[in-house]
Amino acid sequence: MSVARLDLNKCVGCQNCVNICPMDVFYFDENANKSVMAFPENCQSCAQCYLHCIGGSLTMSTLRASYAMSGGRALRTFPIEKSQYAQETSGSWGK
Amino acid sequence: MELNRRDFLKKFAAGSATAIAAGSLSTAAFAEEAQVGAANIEQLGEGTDPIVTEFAFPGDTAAPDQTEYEADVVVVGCGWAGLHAAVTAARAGQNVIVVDKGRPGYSGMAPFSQGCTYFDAELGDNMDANLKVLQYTGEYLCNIEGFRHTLENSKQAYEENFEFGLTGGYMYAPASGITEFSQDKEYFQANLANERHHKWMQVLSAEGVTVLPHTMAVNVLVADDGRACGIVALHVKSGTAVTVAAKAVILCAGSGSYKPGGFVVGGDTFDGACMAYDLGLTIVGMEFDDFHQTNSFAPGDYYFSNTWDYVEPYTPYDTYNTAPVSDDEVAQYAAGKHSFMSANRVKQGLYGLAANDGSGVSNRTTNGSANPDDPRCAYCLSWGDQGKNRTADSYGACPGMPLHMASGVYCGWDERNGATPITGLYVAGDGEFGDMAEGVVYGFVGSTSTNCSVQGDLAGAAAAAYADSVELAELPEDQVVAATDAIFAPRTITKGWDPNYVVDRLCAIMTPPEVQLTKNAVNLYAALTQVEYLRDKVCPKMMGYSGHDLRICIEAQHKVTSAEMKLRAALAREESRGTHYREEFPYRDDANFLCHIGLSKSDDGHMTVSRIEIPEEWKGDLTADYATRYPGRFPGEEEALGLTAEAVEATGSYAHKD
Ligand SMILES: Cc1cc2nc3c(=O)[nH]c(=O)nc-3n(C[C@H](O)[C@H](O)[C@H](O)COP(=O)(O)OP(=O)(O)OC[C@H]3O[C@@H](n4cnc5c(N)ncnc54)[C@H](O)[C@@H]3O)c2cc1C
Ligand code: SF4
Ligand code: SF4
Repeated sequence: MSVARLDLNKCVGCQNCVNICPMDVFYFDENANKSVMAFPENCQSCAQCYLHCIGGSLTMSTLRASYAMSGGRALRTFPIEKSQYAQETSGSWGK
Repeated sequence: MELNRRDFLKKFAAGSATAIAAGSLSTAAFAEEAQVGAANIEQLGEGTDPIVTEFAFPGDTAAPDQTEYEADVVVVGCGWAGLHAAVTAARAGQNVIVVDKGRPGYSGMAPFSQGCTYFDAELGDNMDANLKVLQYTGEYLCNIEGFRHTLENSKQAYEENFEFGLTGGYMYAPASGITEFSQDKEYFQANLANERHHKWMQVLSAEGVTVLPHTMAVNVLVADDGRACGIVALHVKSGTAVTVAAKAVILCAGSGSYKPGGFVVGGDTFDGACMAYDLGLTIVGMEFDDFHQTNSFAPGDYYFSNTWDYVEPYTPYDTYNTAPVSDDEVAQYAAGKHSFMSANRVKQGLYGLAANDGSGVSNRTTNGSANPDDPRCAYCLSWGDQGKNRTADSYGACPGMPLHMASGVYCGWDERNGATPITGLYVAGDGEFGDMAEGVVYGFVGSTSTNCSVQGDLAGAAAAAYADSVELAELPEDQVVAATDAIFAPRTITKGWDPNYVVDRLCAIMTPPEVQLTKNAVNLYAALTQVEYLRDKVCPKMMGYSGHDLRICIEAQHKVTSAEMKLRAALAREESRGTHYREEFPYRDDANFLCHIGLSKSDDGHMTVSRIEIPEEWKGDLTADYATRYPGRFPGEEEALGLTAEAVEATGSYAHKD
């Protein structure tokens, strides 16, 4: 029920999946020149990435990548001061 | 030990990052490692955890070079409506910017529509007959003049789509209905010449439109003089705020759906309606907003198994649902529902619209035409053997979609161009322009993509004319700061909730049949209580780190707002009509509910429900007897109204299957 990796070796780094995916599932690792299936839990199973994958690196799976969340699992804790995002302040919009 | 996905990826990431840093990732080692991950998940079988071999999320991308833009017209969202709005405004000489949270052509519902038909009087289409059918199937709540206007403009919109190269069909299937390709990808490759999705960007660039993909509009800003003056958006990939100052704003962000399997309809999460609602505008049609069944042959399921769990048990297709639903009254009702959701059923033999003779707009693309070369039966994706047998389809689909040409921003029933009560703010397309053009059912199958294109054309032209008459206003700094703060708020929370938790919970609240199909006050209030809890206690504590997380937080918030709208509207409509069925009121109540229900935000921030009157012309012949006015029966309707068996027999019931 979501996109799955068939073979990472086959990823030729075309970035089609990164550009196409309407759910923002894919990101790209510049160093490795490979796509990264970063957020498969948001995959809507449209298969557009799969159809446009030049290398044949992706497949569609009947399994779902995400899990049904329980309240316990959904709890996030996030030490804000250690975050790369901590500097984000209002007014810093734009450049 | 059980790891959640994030931990899992982190753990893996640590390993691979070290390996790369040390330069020790030999090809052989890499191949071996990848092979483990490549162990085809399908082969592992159900119930086995997939082995995910992935590099770690590399973090947000670098911020875009430019984050402040100015335009004459900014178009938010670029499916069929947005494409037409942008091109029309650009052709009128405007400097146009499109922002889309995905990539135009691949996002929203637009990638999945198949047929695109239009109205053509020269080829024998009969306007009055079509409108009569619409009035009848739309159960007297559809905007007759609005739809007439849409149909009148549909040929032009279709011809533009033809010009853009968006109407080519995939090759026909052989008579068996199955292509000779065993592989979906092969089939797709063989039909690449007709692949339309990438053409969206080509058309936009040819027209000189600037496109900002992966850029999600979050707020429409309103200047001191009360006119819309631009937007604040989130560049999702980098987690950066972007502003566009513009003379006119056109919202074309699509809709959403509560269909179980289609809870997430692509990038459509009611963003446009929620942005408008935040500005105090009124939203209509929410109680009718429903799913359109998708099934194993239409886009909407890449695989049966995907939709099966959620959708197939409630679809009308016997072969798929007999076992799970045979004893289930709810499902029986749902199973017959599709006949009532489209004008298809009643057009045959009525009002001179015979099936597939080319005279009716309804369902022409679904059943094909007697004449396979009929230009009004254009197919944008795969099609079967002369419209009879489906191909294996161009795999690729998002499950679910809303009722079309219905819910959205109420602009006044006479408004045709999508001009909202806020000067300079326009709406077009599904879920945006609440003109109720198709009433309370999914009216004319296969015409929606064209009709959304019409709305885009009209809004684009109106916005361009307006933009010509005004100067660019400066973005109000305080609003920009407030909007930006709201976008990044999830990063400031140190202990809170994953936004996916909100989405999952909401899905569980909103999609059960007792909330979605057979509504009653008890169940609706139960759902509303939970939605209010999410709204008040959970949403304010959603946490997010990356730009992606921030997007999901905003979407979750919008879904909660739209869920509240849907529940409140459903509670207010104490009758059954069209796609809205209330168990305690299983009948149409013309005396009290020939009106629409509006939802708007009061000054103190609460959602208020209002009654919006409709023109007398919409209401049909009020002197006609009930059974004639309403040929379809809801479960319990004949008992409640004491209708005779003959009347029921003569007119069919909701459980009827055509
Ligand atoms: C499975 C399926 C099958 C269908 N079949 C047919 C058919 O056969 N014939 C037919 O005529 N119609 C069909 N339709 C309906 C048709 O696809 C829709 O009516 C049409 O696409 C609606 O167009 P739109 O432009 O209003 O919205 P969409 O096409 O949904 O486009 C909305 C766009 O807005 C973007 N967006 C959303 N929120 C934001 C935001 N906050 N910021 C920036 N961008 C945003 C989205 O990414 C998307 O690109 C089908 C739909 C589905 C789902
Ligand atoms: S199947 Fe669709 S939603 Fe899922 S990752 Fe691929 S493109 Fe994205
Ligand atoms: S589309 Fe396929 S080959 Fe291209 S980057 Fe994505 S996974 Fe790699």
